[in-house]
Amino acid sequence: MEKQPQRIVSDSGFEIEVVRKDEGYFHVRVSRANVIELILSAKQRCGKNILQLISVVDRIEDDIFQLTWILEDTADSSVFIVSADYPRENCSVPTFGDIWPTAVIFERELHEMYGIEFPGNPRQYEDFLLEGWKELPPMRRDFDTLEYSIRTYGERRKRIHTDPRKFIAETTGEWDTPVPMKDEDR
Amino acid sequence: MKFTDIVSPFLAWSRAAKKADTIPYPKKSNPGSDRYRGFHRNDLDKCIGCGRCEEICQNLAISMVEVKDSQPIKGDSGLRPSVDYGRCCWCALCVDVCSTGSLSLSNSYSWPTDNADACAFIPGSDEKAWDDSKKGYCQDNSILQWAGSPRVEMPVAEPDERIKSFEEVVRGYSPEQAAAEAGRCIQCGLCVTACPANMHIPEYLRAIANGDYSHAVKLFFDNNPLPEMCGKVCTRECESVCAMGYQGEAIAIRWLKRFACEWFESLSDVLAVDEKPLEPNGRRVAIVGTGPAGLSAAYYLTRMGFETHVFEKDGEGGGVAQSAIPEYRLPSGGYEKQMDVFRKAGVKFHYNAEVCCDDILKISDDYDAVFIAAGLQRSSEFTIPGVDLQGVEHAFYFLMNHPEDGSIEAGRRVLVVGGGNVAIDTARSCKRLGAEVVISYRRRIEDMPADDEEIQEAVEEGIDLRPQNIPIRIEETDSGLLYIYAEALMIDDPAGGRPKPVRKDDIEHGIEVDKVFLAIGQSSDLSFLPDEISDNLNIKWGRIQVDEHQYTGVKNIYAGGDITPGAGDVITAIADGMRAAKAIAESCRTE
Repeated sequence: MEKQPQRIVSDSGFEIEVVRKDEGYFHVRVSRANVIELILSAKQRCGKNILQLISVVDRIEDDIFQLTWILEDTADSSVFIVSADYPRENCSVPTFGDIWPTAVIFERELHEMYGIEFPGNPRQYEDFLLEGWKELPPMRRDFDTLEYSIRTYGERRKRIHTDPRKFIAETTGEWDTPVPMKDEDR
Repeated sequence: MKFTDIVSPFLAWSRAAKKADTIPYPKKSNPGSDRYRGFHRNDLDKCIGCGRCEEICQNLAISMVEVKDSQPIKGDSGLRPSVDYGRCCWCALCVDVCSTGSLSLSNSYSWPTDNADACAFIPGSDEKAWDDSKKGYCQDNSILQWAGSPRVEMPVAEPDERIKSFEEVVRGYSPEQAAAEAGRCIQCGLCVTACPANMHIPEYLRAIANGDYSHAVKLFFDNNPLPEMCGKVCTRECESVCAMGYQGEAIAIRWLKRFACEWFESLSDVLAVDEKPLEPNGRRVAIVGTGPAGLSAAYYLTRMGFETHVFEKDGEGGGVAQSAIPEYRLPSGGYEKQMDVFRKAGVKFHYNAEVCCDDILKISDDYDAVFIAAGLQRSSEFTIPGVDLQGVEHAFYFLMNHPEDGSIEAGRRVLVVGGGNVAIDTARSCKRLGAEVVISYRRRIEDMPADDEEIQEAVEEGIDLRPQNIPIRIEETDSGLLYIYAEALMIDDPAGGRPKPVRKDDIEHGIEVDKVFLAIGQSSDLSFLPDEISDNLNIKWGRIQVDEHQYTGVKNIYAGGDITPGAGDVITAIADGMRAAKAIAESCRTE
């Protein structure tokens, strides 16, 4: 078995961007159409037998979710990392639950936190941490944490607050200038 | 009955000697891990109350509050963070962005109480059991890399190039560089506490970051009518307390002020001072001296409707700051631009109008108030043998005579005695006139009153800086002068002052030079004050003592700038003038 995924990258027949390559570390970026083929090749041909993690970055400015699968070869602890971008709107990503049972758990969490669908994952709609959550998935960057906090919990106490900038201005007499310019004059 | 039902009790007993998996009872303490994010700690001595923790907190859990006896002091707002644990999500962003690293999280997480509102406190001020704990989450400087980007370096001329002329050393920021540098400001306002004139620094930095330079200039003039001068030679106390400077580099406030002023060919057009004349209030004020203090008072008084007359004994204004600071630091081109503002604002200047004893008495009768801002006119005397020899000169007079116009011979080998800005300016000017220059200073380099940047640039230009040299005497030789000095040891001052230099041994050393420039300070010349006034003034060490409103105690006479005690820098003089203007206006209002 080839231990390094270099060969499958060069043999793949589709475009792969190498993000970073190091001893025991290989990170690539690929089109989402080729994710399954690349990851299965890494498992079958390179001994990447463990799915260590699936992570998501909400790149809201580009309107995409960046999914990253981290695979590991337990024999030599080398990792192979695959990243791919998916549209944020109605985001649907293939499940790897049939290949690695742990993916069922990872994907369930990502569904709860980002609202990403993993068709074929039998447990993705079960609560993971947020029991009875009805809001926008909270890790999405368009979720307004502060607004939710105020709406849900209200003002627990009267908030005593002093703005440092104003406090300094008042106590140093900064704004008491001899030329009282109005804002419209400035 | 199953087989396991029979053996299970025995299997359970087999674990009797092993560590229990369940929570022990009676309950034992279960501390958090070493890097656990628990309740906050705050080192109040390190905290500067910048409010960055409050700003980053996504849940409004942190509020800046006044603590007992809190007052803003230089570089400290006096406020401290209070944390509400009904809102805190323990993310520790407040710790990551803390400007000074004073805030940390302990590994304590347990606080049983039946009062939810009790779960809030001011870390460091309200004593807690975990205050002295060393464990928990502290700032990681590797994370701070994103919390503070580096300062945008000011482009300067190379040392080999700049010693060839008196051209300005600093090249200036581009708009992109200025925006990047101004954008680093976190808007805490601590700089305002250090600025003698309390300028609106965060606001004008934001205006520059947004590309609104005219707004920035208008904000300058709220508290400083000489921003271009300050943008080049300010002592920038503001930068010394910048929150960004604790774990990174302070915002280049001085250079950004310079940038915004340089952007415009005319500052008076930006301000439109002549388009909005103020209603004259019928009051007249006389100002003696056109240095920063005099000009500042004149500008603000005129803007408040006073008829302001400024008397200057020389043919040009600007005072010592404009005359003695060399062109490579403060080009004279900016002077006319600044004076244009004063003229258009309506300030009346009287040049070659030296004010003598009789004049002062007449002026004090004719005007509603007099502001004395005559500055320091004399170079202090030095008392070692040989200071009267030909070739020994006062550095202050050398600079006042504009060495950059080429009319003064500096000599081939020059020695400058002193460690202030006058000493450095003289040395660098002589270097530009082609001399080999040595600076002899009694104390250590870190004790030099000169600006650190000036010292560094002087060394870059090849000036031989010799600290811990005690001057003994100056002798005349066939080829010029011999400067005799002894090496110094520094002795700690038991009173807590600067270490004092004492002679290390009896050995004398000599340096052969053509000229020696003495730069050991300036003193005032109060001979223009008649006895009727000076007898009633409180004068100590040649300086007129004033109260917090620049009032001398003699009716209608105010004083400011270098002629009064103070830092002796441009911005302090400007602040003096502004305070005097306010006080004169208030005095006239209540009369």
